[in-house]
Amino acid sequence: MRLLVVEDYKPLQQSIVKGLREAGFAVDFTGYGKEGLWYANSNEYDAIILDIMLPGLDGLSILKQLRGSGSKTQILILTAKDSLEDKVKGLDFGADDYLVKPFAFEELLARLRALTRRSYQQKRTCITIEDINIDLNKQQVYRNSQPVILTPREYALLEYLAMRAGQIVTRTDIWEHVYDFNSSATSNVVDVYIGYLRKKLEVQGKPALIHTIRGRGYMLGAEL
Amino acid sequence: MIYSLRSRLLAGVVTGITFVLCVFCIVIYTATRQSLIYNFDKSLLSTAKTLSAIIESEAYDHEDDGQDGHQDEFIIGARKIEFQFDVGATPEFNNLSGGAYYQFRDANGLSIIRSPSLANMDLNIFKATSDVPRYGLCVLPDGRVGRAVGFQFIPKGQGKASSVLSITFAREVSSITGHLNFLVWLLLISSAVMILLSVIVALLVTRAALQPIRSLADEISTVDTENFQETYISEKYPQELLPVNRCLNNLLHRVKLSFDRERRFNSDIAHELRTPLAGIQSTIEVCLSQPRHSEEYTTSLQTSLEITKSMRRMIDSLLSLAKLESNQITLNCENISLRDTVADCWRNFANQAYEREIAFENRIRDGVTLFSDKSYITLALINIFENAVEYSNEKGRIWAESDRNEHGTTISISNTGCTLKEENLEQIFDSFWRQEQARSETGKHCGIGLSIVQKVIKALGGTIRANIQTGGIFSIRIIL
Repeated sequence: MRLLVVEDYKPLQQSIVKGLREAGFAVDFTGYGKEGLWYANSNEYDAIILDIMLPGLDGLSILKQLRGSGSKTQILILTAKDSLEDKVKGLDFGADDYLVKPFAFEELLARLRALTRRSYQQKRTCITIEDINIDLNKQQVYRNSQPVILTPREYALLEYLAMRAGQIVTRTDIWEHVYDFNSSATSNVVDVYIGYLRKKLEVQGKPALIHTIRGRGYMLGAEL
Repeated sequence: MIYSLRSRLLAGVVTGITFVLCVFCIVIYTATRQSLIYNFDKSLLSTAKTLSAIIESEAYDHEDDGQDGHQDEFIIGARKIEFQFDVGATPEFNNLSGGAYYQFRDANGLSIIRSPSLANMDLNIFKATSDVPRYGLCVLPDGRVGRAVGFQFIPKGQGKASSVLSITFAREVSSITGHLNFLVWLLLISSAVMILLSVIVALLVTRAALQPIRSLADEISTVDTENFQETYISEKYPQELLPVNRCLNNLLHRVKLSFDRERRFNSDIAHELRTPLAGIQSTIEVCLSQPRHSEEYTTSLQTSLEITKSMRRMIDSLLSLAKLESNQITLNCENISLRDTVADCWRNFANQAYEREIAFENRIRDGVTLFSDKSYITLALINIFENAVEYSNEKGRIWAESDRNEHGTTISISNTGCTLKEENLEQIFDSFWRQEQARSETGKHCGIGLSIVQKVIKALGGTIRANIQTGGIFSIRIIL
């Protein structure tokens, strides 16, 4: 899942970005309001973490402009403003969630997981595709009841494919949702990671569940 | 001393009515008395004139006399006086307590005729003509007080040389005093009733008139700390209470503004502290979320320490501000060298300025002194310099100047690279106000530096102003 963090307080921004990346998210970040709006318009993020008091353009204006342009991205307001009035205003402006600083990082992660699930209409915290089980909270994967050990990047790739199980997912989609601007990956890195994932999910006598749709992309699910 | 408005109103109304009644009674009494006396005197004069008309005078020859001496005939020199009046038919002249008295005297004042009611007593003699008679009080034979009229007259008769006689006629005045006594009692009783009635009416009127005050008090009593923000005292009260009403609403408005300012200030403090706290918490939680190399722990600790230091600076500033706002400061004034103090303060920012290639020029001449508290002047200058270095452009300039005139000593600190707008000048001394570009420094500058400066200068008895000159030059000007 790819996130955008718009937070002007550098130490907080850095720790959030670090924590989110370690939790398997692809994260872009900025400390300026206008830049944040540009990022949000340029990429299809799964969720945006938005501070309210920002230099250049405040968070509520960003929110208003995004919703005005029809963006359906999940937006979580992360702010020190804790009054009921501020919360109501933020949510009424179109935010999907509101978290007050200081916060427990675990809570931020849980809320982001919920938001990303919601953006794919996924209510359950466990996804089952044939004999693959993915625990979205614990970020653990089982095939045929056997645990599969994945790197954070492999897990992020599988999670994205699983969220869109049964649909054809293009390489661009994968690139946009699993990698951030900071990634130093080359263009064929998606194919390479799909290869790793197939290998790890392979079970003797069981069908492969990641299919290549020639010229279009990939699909996770039962055989076509 | 607490006094009752109602009692005052009551006392005022009753005193006023009593005074008016007294004046009224005196006027009535005096007018009636004068009228009674006038009528009495008129009656006295009329009777006296009638009596004087009865007297006849004629020439008298002593040699012809002796044969018909009459009791009402008197011989005065060469004249004979006849007084033919039947006293027996008028009992009021006949006995001592008859109430009517007359006495005739000759030109020498000798009594020639007196009414039997006088016995041997004399009445006063009045030397006046019948056209302008004289009146006066007199004591009657029975000891009562009477009123008398007297005048001189020439009795009718034959002959040329009639002698002048005088008459004094008196009556007792019990009829007048009786009337007047009755009038006094009537006035006293009616006045007492009027005063009593006026007290009752005044009580009812003041009670009704003061009702709006009670209503206002009731309305005010409903204002408490929970609802005063939304409360507005209605203007349904009488015109006289409108000033009170307006003052109360103004007071409520000022208290509301003060509470709002306080709440905003608290909210701003909370906001300024929440963000760095979130930074510390997030840094530590992320750091502890998985096993790491020792360098990563060190980095996280350093980040947390930096945030903690900046929070401490902010709290120190807030405490200074609170202290200044509550006037809990003691000034220790001395003669301080302005040039040296400015130079000392600048030293704190020399490195930061050097990194951004900002040049500093201390244009204050040697020998310029200021009698003030050095520690507070230093606090103000440090905050001004911190601001100047922060907002000056790279490779910009900062300079300090001073001047002395009849208004005092002026200190100016200016910097280049100002991006503020004129309309922001009023806000720069507000706590937590920050220029937009400074927002990226959340946690580092919370926007109370210039607010502290303003309060320090006020505490030192000076004035402070900010202005923007052409070329993006921002100046803070202090007059002490």
